[in-house]
Amino acid sequence: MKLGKKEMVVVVIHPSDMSNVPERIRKELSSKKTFSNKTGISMKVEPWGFVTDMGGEDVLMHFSNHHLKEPDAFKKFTELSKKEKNKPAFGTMAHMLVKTAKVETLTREAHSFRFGYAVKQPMMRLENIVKHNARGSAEAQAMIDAVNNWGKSEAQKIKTLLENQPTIAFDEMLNLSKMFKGMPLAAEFPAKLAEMKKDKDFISLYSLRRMYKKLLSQDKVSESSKKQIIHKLNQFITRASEKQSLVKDAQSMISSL
Amino acid sequence: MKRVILLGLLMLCAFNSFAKNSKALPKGTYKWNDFEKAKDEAIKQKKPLLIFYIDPKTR
Repeated sequence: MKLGKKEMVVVVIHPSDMSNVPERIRKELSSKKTFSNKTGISMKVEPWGFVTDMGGEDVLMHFSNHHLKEPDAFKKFTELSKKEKNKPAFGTMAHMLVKTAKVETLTREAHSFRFGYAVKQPMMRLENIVKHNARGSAEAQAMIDAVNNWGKSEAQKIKTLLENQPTIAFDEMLNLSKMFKGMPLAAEFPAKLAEMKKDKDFISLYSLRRMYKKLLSQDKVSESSKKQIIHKLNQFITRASEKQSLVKDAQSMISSL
Repeated sequence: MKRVILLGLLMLCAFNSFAKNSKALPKGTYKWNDFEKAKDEAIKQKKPLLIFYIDPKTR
């Protein structure tokens, strides 16, 4: 079986696996796709498989058994592989930007964005490109929009987290305020963070959250440490019963232990 | 008698390896159950994922 193993990571699905395969992937395998053959005539055939990006999220190409017999089939695999190698690593901010803003020429600028680091300087460089209508200005604008939209969606997530899990919201807010420092999006965060730091109950739960995280990061979770944290969280709930959001946060930690 | 037992054992070994080979996937190829592992490898090596279906009727 020579299926471009050098170029790709190959996953084989047998008929017995079909019941475990998610609907999304089953659809990609079962719906009829249009392929154009050498003569340019497009025909609808059952796909035999498909190629996705490295994270398995976007379908890059469908292929049928018939399609594989064509001489340039493996050349296409190599091309796809090369393109993937040139992309920023999966999970990085640059990868997110390249994907959402469909960046092709300004890849260097995309690489200057990193999660947890200030975005102001790279954003200013992009704004300059747009201002001077330089090469790739459309991409620069798309990237600016993508960063702003991402920031807004994170800020929205923080709002929801503040109601149910303020200790997680605190960390997220700290991270976002660092990234969007000096920008309108994070303007209200420093005051909110300072206010949270003053609350003794919050600080007490925050230290319990740290203990909880440390416990879960261990390979083998000890039962006695687990019981100890649950006990402390229960004590906290009776002590701070008036603060609903903190109580919800403590309860969520107990239920996941 | 010894010869028959020896032949029997040899045949058993040969059958076993044949059965194993017919089921085993080539090295570097993942079964659906190991999809998450495959995804991790693809992310690590920055390679695309090739997912395909083997239908015994068409092979």
